[in-house]
Amino acid sequence: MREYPDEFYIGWQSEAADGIAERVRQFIFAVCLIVPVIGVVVVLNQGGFSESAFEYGKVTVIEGVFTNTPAPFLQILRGKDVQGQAIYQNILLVAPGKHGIQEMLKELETALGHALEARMVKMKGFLIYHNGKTLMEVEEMMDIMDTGVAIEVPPLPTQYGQGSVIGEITDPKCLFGVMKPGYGKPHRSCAARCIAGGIPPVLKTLSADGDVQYYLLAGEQGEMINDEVLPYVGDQVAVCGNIRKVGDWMILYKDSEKEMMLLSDGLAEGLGMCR
Amino acid sequence: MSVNYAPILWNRQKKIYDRVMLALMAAYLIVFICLQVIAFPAITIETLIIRATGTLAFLMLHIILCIGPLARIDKRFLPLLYNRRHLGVTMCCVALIHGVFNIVQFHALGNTDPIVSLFTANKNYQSFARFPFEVLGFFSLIILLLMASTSHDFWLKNLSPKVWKTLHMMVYFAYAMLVGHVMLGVIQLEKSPVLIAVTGIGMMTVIGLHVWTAIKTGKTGKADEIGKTRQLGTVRISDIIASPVSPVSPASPTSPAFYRVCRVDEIPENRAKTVMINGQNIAIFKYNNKLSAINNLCRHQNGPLGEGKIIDGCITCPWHGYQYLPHTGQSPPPFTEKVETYDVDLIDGWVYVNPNPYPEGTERPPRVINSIVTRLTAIADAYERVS
Repeated sequence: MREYPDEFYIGWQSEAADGIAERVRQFIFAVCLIVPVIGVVVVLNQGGFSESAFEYGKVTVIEGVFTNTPAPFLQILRGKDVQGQAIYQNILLVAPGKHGIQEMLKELETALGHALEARMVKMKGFLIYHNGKTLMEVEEMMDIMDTGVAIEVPPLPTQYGQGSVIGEITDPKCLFGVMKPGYGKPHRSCAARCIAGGIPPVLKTLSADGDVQYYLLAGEQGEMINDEVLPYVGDQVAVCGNIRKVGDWMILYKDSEKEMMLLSDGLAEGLGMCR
Repeated sequence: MSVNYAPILWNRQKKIYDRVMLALMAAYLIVFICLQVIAFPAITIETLIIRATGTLAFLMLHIILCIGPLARIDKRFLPLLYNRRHLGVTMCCVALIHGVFNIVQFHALGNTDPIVSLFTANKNYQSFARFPFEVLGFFSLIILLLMASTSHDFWLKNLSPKVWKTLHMMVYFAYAMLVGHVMLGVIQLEKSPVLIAVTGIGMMTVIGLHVWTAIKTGKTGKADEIGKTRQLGTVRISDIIASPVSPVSPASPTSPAFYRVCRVDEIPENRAKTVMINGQNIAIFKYNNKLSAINNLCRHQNGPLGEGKIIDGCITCPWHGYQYLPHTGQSPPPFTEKVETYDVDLIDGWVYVNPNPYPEGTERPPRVINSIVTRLTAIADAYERVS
């Protein structure tokens, strides 16, 4: 390599000395190689993103029976099974932003002068869906009970099991489509914001086989427990309670006498906490 | 150098610097976004922007932090240092996009003010693993914004180089917080050992270069400390404090305040010897058969004037090319920067300096190098060549 012992660099001069310019060119060449390589390495070592969808801007109108317990659902009759039992799809309802539907519902019920529970309603909004679960970000809702629409009363929740369930608490709106990823540490604050805003919390569980299951969390009597779960959002926790099936959703009615437990405090204790 | 403040004083090298910087940023973003869309088409535009800008800003900060020590290790890297503030401000803008998108994405449209939410949504401050990593990113961004908004010479002049430099040294605190922001945030989600390794390599490069520079500058002794004995082969300096040298001949300095520095032939022509005496950082320049001493710290950014060179009769700072006349310590008109000057003497080929400074810009007559010494040195050189 050539040596340039007495070269001196002055930035405001138009040209840099030969040796200095050569060294800078070498540096830039190295950076030109490193920068794209880092980009490639970072991208290819991400965990990937779910195929969930949020149809923002694409308005969907659906009709069904509204229920607010244990979570705000629009229940839609999808047909009958081989035994002639009605099959319902439950669409979980959320409001725009990081809010549950409570305020919107309260305003409409006040305007109508009666509750919407078990009434036929029409919803206009944007669908959110993933892994067989569907939500709607509601833009507008209307009571159509008095328009002569036929109504079939959906079945009550059916008992499914009892015990402790281990998983991560997050908000279903982000998890099923609005955000990618809608879980994990980077999403913790957002999930806390959504749950604090009234969106029902969901427990996402992952079996050893990689099967994912989702449980909406409610109190023992179906009441909201959003404030109670806030300190545990984004963490792996064990929750003890009754599991019931409402349409195509599992609801975990948390045992009011058993505190939720962080999994980092002990897996065995978490698994055995319901005994 | 400038007389009046202007947003940016463009010159050819700054333009080249900025073009290369923007081209590299564009290259990174194109590679990142295209590959992301091909490999993970399900990604949302918001996540794409957040990840592209976050990783780019973090990468740029690494390059920024490496430039300083590289320029100390090898002066040929000085062009990278010359316009580094443009790199810093641009990096801050990229980081700001990342920060704003994150705040909007994760904290806006909720039941609390987004900034309040940033501090309260995750309250696990007592836990290391569950720590709210966003707060670390937020404070880093505040520091970067503070630095970017005070990067102009207007602030350098008004805050004083010392305060300005101290403020801008906070970049290391911001960097430490950003490493925490990454490790306690996205790395906890992705859990990829490769991403952990890449972050670790980046961190080790920054730390390694700074340690290497500290060792190198310690060994070469940028400024000799007069009155202290240097141990050969180590960077350790003993704590023996010597007294000022006494006058030794009628031709010697009349004041005992003069300190002996070095042999005159140890100072290369148009270059300096730097010494630290009683807290005074002094650069003694030799030029045109004369010696002059001025304060070693450039008034622009405290650059090491003693590592500069006399060009067109002016001491020229190696960092940004600020210039001073050696016998007055003043920038040539119309510029107004001034540094302290010192008395310098020469006795029997030894250079002496009085560390009591004259006020900034005070003219001190240069010490003409004794012609006999010069002749004897020339004769000795000639004899050496012949023999």
